[in-house]
Amino acid sequence: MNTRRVIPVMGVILAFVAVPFSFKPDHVSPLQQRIPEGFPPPVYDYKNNPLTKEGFELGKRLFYDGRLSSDGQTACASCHQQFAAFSDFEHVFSHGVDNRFTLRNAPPLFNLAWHKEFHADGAINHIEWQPLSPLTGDNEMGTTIEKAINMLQDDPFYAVMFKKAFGDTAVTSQRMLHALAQFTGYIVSADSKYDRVLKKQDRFTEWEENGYRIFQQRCASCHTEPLFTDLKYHNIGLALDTFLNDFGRMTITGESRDSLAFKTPTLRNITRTEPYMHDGRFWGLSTAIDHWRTYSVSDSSAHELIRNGTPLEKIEIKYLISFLHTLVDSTLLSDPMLADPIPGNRIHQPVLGH
Amino acid sequence: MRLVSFLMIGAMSCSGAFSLHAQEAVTRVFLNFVNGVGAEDIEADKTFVNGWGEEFTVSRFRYYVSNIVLSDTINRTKIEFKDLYFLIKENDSLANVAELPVARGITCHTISFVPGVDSSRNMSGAQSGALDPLNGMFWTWRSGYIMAKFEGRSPASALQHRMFEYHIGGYEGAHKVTDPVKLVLPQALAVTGRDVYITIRADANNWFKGTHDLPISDYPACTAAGPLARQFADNYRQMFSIQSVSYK
Ligand code: HEC
Ligand code: HEC
Repeated sequence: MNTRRVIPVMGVILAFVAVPFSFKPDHVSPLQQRIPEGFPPPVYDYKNNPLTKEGFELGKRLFYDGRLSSDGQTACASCHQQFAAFSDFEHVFSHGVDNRFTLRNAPPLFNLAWHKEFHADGAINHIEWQPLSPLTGDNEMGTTIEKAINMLQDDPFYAVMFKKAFGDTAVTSQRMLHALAQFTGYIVSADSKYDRVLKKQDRFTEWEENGYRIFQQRCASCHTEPLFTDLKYHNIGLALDTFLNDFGRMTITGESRDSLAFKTPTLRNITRTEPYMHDGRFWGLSTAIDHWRTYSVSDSSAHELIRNGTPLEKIEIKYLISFLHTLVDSTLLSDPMLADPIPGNRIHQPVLGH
Repeated sequence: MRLVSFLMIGAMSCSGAFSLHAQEAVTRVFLNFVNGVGAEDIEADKTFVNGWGEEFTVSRFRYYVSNIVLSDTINRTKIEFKDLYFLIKENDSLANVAELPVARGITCHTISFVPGVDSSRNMSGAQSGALDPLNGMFWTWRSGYIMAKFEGRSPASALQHRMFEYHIGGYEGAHKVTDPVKLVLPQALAVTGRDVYITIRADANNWFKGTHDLPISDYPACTAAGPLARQFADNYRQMFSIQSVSYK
């Protein structure tokens, strides 16, 4: 083997001891993955995609750039806005190109580096593959991988950004997807009142405290702390919408036991992500939780806890809602590092306060 | 470039007695895939007939080849080419050759490979080269490689344009279609200093008739993982045969 090859590689490793797997050109600035105290090790650890400031900035720009879509104005951010914890503010279904709608409610995006699978049915098996779904979906961004790459290749501004991030100006699908994962995987939410209470920097009110206790008994087996999701699929007995005919996880596995099972959504920032459930059928937190009180479950394959648990009292729901309000993370909602980097950006997007 | 050749040899994990000491000890073994229907080679605009008497033309006939293993069945040793992925296309003479660096002095009796992409690469995020999703062999709405793609037209199809379209995939659990194919070489292959050319022929007719009966009239389309995709994969796994071995 050739020893001349080995020396520079070692030089790179020594230069960035903080990022052990970095084989990046030496002009990049490594970025440390955010892993909040008390979180488990992430599923996605950037081992094959070293996280850098330059890669992150490129990914952020791609996320906010409507020109990736066929109508030039549907960006990732069109359906995932920061002020809504990167869900789609007050939209049951999101608007894609050609006046088309998504078939599911857009979920919030944060703590994604801890997810093994994506989408309500787990159709996507990796954070890096995920963007191909909205990019090529006719009812989302309506483009092809080829067209997206051609657009980027023809833009001198991107040439500079790709060079900064990856060492040369070549635009490949892998680089585009790596950059997007550097942005989406970096969005972390762990600075809510709840987190501060755990760190003893704040205190729950009496109602919040009551709610937390009920939550731990009745909800935490699925909405497991600290992510507030077990990332598994459950059927919680919501009736099938016979227009959408969305059977959730079963579509992917083909197993009848997975019928109407959906990925447990996180409850962090839940007050920002109305409406609720995979199809946005419920407005208001009390409505979303009410089925744990009313139990109008016709489906015998629904989860044991919903069929046989003790119905919640009305007051318990109120306590729970107080607690859920402590999960909003205002740092995430206003972090300038995650904000739109494109001045005067004109993408299709709802505006806060209307 | 040097890094590339280093990686290629690094990709050969020798679980047997073979090892690579010096660059000179490497000989190239080429697997050349030729795609046909019966005795004829696949060409655009040519009409073929399958085992059910159905006429058809071929517009796409593509599949991945990976996890190639050369085995010496007497000494029970083998060489695995773990990180090499090839996308075979119709009769594209440039794309359809898999080049394998093999240590001299070895003998092998069988070749095996996966006609597809192993589950590990299906699940490890954005890939490049033959595995770049730009090649149109990746499902975007539901992650996973299309292991094999066969498209064309046939009067036996009741679909629009009389088309038939098979996109076969599935990398885990009951949907898995990545069992390997094993081919026995007509004679023991001794790797010396000369390049070796092994021609492997794939007969598209096996898709329709084999372990399972899948005439175009009944099955003009299969575009997702599942039981039908598994049946097609059972059939096409049998389409490969070794046509010739030569030394140059
Ligand atoms: C037209 C609206 C729309 C656009 C544009 C869009 N998304 Fe989404 N996004 C959605 C919807 C709806 C879902 C839920 C999909 C499902 O569950 O099947 C979703 C789901 C996701 C998820 C999965 C989250 C989880 O918890 O499983 C990620 C990650 C994501 N989007 C990132 C992106 C990125 C990156 C882009 C740009 C390349 C993008 N989205 C563009 C609407 C959109
Ligand atoms: C058996 C597992 C399980 C238990 C227990 C459970 N949930 Fe859920 N929860 C889910 C699943 C799965 C969904 C998503 C259903 C859908 O999308 O159709 C969900 C959705 C929600 C939503 C809507 C979230 C959103 O972003 O759309 C809220 C709010 C919620 N649950 C609150 C609670 C509360 C409060 C409790 C305790 C009283 C609780 N859940 C107990 C599994 C569970």
